Amino acid sequence: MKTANDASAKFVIQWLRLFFAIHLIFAGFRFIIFQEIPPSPGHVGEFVTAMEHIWMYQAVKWLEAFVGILLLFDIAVPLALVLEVPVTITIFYLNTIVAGTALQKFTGPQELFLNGILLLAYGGYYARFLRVKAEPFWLWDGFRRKAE
Amino acid sequence: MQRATWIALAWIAGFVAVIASGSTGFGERSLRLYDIIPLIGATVLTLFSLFRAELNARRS
Repeated sequence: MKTANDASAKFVIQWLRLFFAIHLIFAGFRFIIFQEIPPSPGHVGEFVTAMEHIWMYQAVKWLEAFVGILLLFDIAVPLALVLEVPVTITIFYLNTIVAGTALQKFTGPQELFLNGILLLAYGGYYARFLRVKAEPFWLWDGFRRKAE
Repeated sequence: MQRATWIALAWIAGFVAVIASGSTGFGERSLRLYDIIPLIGATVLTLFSLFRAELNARRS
């Protein structure tokens, strides 16, 4: 059976990772540098304004920039993808269901597709925590057991 | 070129076409720098890796 590291799949996954990375870096740094908030239609605009007032929008943009850098330089990719999930789901919901313009109906699912397909591509790393029965297990004990 | 390179190129071209077209809202507006830079950046960097892999395969 072919793995995600087979020659053709490897390069397709690399393209998706780099595209998502540059897209996030652009989205993050556009706000960080220019303090520019793209106009959003209807209730999405109200939501974004409310988020900005409680500094949540700013936090999301810094997170996007940070995750983008991790993905671009291929550092801690499985962790970066998980960090981005809440933002991806929010964008998907706002763009696809709340805004619903032709452009947003594409960019919402696009965000979910990119994050989802990359989570699947790197999914082997999550196999250990997809267990039904689990007992308390400190993070540092997990690192120690791996080293043994 | 190796078969794997052609398959990867075909997939990447497909993604570029779909994302570029969807980013215009399917003809609603033109592409912005915000849409173009990730497409070009990811494609150039991946082509560079593909080219390097192709060269290594030919050498070995």
